[in-house]
Amino acid sequence: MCNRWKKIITTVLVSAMTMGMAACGNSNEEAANDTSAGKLAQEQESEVTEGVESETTAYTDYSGGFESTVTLQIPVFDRAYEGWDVTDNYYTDWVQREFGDKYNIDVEFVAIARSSQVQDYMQLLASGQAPDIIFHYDMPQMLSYYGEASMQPIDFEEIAFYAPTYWNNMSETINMYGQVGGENYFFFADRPDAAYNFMTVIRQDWLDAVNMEVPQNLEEMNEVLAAWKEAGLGNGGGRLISNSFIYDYPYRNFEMDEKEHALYSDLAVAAFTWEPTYRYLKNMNYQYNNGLIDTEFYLNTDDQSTQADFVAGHSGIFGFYSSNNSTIIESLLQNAPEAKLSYLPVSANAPADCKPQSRAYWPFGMIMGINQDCTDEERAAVWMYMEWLSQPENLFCFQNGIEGENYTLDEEGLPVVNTDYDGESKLSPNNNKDYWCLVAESVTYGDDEAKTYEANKRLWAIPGYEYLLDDSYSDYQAVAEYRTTDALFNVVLNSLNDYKAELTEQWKALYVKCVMASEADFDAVYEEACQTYLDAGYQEVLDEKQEAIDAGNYR
Amino acid sequence: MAENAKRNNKHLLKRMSRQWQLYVLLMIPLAFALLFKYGAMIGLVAAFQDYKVVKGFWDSKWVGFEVFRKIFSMKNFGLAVRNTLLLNLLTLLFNFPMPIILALLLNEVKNVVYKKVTQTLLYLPHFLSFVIIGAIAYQMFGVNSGVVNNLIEHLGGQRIPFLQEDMHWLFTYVLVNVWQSMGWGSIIYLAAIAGVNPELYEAATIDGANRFHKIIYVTLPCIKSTAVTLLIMNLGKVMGGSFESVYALRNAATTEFTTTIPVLIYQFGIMGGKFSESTAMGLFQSVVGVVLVLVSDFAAKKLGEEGLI
Amino acid sequence: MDKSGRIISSNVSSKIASMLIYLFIGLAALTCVIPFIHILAKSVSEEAYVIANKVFLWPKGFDLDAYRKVLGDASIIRSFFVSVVITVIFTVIGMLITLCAAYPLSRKNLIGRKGITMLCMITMYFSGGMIPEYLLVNSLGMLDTIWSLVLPLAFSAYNLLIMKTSLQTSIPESLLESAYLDGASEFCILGRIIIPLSKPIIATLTLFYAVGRWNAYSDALFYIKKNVDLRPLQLKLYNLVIASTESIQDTVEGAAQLTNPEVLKAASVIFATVPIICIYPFIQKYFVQGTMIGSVKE
Repeated sequence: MCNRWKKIITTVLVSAMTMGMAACGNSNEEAANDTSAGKLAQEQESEVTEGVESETTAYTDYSGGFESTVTLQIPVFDRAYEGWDVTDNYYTDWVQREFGDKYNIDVEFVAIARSSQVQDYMQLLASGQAPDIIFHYDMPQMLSYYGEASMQPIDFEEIAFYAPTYWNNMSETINMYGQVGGENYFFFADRPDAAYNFMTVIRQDWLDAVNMEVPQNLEEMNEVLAAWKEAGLGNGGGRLISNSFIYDYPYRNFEMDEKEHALYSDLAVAAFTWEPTYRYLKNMNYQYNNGLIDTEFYLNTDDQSTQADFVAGHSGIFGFYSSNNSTIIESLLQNAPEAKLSYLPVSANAPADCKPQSRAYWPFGMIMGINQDCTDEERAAVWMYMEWLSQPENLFCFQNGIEGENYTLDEEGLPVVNTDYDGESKLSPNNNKDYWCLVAESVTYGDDEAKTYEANKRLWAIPGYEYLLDDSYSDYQAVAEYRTTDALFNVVLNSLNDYKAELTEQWKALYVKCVMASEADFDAVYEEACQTYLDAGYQEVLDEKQEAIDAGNYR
Repeated sequence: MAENAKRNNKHLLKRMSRQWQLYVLLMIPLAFALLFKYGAMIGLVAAFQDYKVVKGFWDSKWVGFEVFRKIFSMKNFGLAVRNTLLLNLLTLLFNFPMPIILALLLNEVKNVVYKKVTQTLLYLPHFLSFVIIGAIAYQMFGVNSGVVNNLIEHLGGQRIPFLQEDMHWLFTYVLVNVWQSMGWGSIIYLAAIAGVNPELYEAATIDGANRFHKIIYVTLPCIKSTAVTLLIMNLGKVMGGSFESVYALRNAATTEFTTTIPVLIYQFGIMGGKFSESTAMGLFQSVVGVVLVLVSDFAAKKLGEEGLI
Repeated sequence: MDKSGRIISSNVSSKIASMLIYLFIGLAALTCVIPFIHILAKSVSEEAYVIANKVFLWPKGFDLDAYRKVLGDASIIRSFFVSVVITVIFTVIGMLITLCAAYPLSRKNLIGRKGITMLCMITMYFSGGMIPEYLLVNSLGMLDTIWSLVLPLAFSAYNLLIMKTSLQTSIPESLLESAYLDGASEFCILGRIIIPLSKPIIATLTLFYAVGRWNAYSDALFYIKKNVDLRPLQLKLYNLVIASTESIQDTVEGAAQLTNPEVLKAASVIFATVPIICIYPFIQKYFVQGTMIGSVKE
């Protein structure tokens, strides 16, 4: 009973909204659009009336296709791969053929340059050409888009109506994280719990040379590094931490107070004044002064420079995202043919008295919102596209290509990639991920964990070094209970937006100063740095967060 | 009195009517300037707004000078102004005379092949982006493994933190900038020298002038107005300057001089997506720049030069 | 005796001065070519040594594969032609604008001269910013067309003011006077006197325009989105070298970023830079002293 009333009210609201939007369209757009907008309202109205009559649903059913062609604009990252046209290729044609033509939808892919995505979106939004979906991997940036008034609130029931499969997969996450400012705005792609593609490796031949085992905690690690230095082998590497502040996880107390966690744990801003940071820096300072790490670590500002040190044999530890086309080990062997590698467990970074903690990803990958100037039909088309993309067979084709061309199936039902394939249905260099990332962040086979791992292994393991990924996988499961996510606030934290860039700059300068201080001076330098950091805006960030925490606006 | 004005007006009209051809010529460039330069300056209103991209420049909320108040009260704004002026003035101090000296020296090279080859090589750095120059600079000047430091140590010297200590960094920054632009900058002076009437040199030779005298009394006066023009234009940029050169050469251990206005604009605009703040800061730069140009132009004219305007 | 001694000593000191000048210029030129040798060495080395930072001025493990790849990539070759076309069109339009503006503004009796010069000068220091410029190009319907790369930047106050200064100093007033007496129109003076007399500065500014356009990519980054065939070479280079190596939000996204081989990047830098460097010798021939006086005597 209650449900029926809700639906009727929604119906009224939807039709009112449609009329309102049509009216808006009239006033803003040129005359040519008038008629179509008017027609749209009429159509909607008549169909809505029908809906009320039959008392089944508040939403128009478009499964037979839209009456007049709807243009659906889907954003896609352009990662500047050579020879890959992101907006016009075999798969964009395929989507049009298999999905678009069926529903009278004109699917247009809009390229968003990965390296300048925010600028691209800003320009597109300013000129009214932004795609129907606004997306980003990072919540703070999504909140900033929200702050630009670029998105419209969304109706979860509408998603459930047009995209039942997608809704079924993601409703829990969407219900949990989809609100901001008390309204529903965001929907998500699934992120399977499978972050074991990031791994750290250690030079086993160097360990053998000093007669030591793979270190299991920080103290052992420092002993290994000292022995390496003694033997003149090399150091432990090091790089400048300039974003994604997850360095302090191994130094945190396990099962800490929820509010303390919410206050400090933040990917976007380093918690400089927090105890775990102090312990982290103290250890770095020790390592620096004893020559255990690269004393020019602050010059390693990108992956390339840390990789150079590792490949050249200056450092014996390297963390990276493993991928089957990675050439890192091959390059290392060319420079150091005797090199042998082992997996370095997560616990090697944690002091013996701490738990091997690390950051857990949110259960979502891509965060999405609906462009504020999307019409009802366009929004429906978005949901229908999400639904279509959520169908396992479509997703599988997007991820693997055409059977017999890109791959063949083995007896386990897993695709065996035809690596030499160079025909028209060639996948993009990252296996079309920038298309299917709207619904999933990595490949899964439902609840079949073993099969999913087997499939991931083919994508992630470096040929000949499968044991590294196996070790990473088992370690990943072993420390699962020590993985925690950052707190997420469902209000916009203005001070965070205001000071984020400045605090990052301050962090870099201050932490390098602390690390490079003499061991005797360390505490004094740290104290002073804390004050500078607080003055640079961190105090305001903490105050605003505290306020939000006290009001319960966090999860 | 009135008659006088009337006559003046008539005179003015007559003069203008004779000049119509010049105005016709000016129409194309002015159309370009108005459309593409002034057309986009509408965006400057964002400095006085709480600009939201979706609302645009017409519908965003007006906040008066609130944005300026905010950026002027920022803790490192003063530091950024100091650094910007320091880096730019220091660079200008060497960047301005160096191309002139180089052009004069190149002009003394009589071997045509040697001259052409060296000239071409000298302007090569202009074609490298600062990202590449920065990477090479660290390979050359790094303390632990830089090529130059390896050489110094090999020769029995101490390793020098060219880029890893604040004062050294300042020196290296200026050096790299001058090195990067001197060859390119000398082209314009070579063109000006090419315009010098050779008879002037012949006359000077007859008067018994040596090479040095000819440079001082013939060449320099002929390229003076070009030099003044460039100096005035560059003075207008001392509050601005390049973001890339600082960004590519800085590192986290030497940050004393690397917070500059262009870096702040980058932080706001690109990293932070704060359009109003970055526009306001850019506007501040522009106003300072134009004021400096007008002042130096006035000074140049007082000193008997043509000036810029 | 005394006099001849002085001549000899001045000859000697002149020789020494010459030698010092040759030496200084030679050394300076040498430092300028080091980065290029470095990139060149990387471009013909083996990838594994390059990523280990083991190549400085001498290649390690000689390999020309990267050049084969660059020259074999149809899209890079097409980008090269796009760059050539836009550079030529841009330079022609830019020089036209510059000449049309600089000549009238160099005439001291032009009414409104100061105001117009000021109007031009201001454009050097004030700019609307990224978003308004994008909106402008968008509303002119020039996105994804060659014009977005040719027209917006064609007006350069910097070049204009240099040209104006040059005309003011190098064109003798008496020449213009006599042209007036002959009844020449302003267009005629510009075409027959000004242009032939200003070859060195015209050559220089042509070089400035051409190099400026050739090296720029940020406008193409935003204006050329859908029409990938119109991407100029420098944008391709930017994509190859910078865009695909940035790992800003790796941790947020949680996946490996594919990067292009270092050797390929180096080869592309060389491929994109050498053509524009080659135009300099053609410009140089206008720098020979006496070009101007020859034209006057004609």
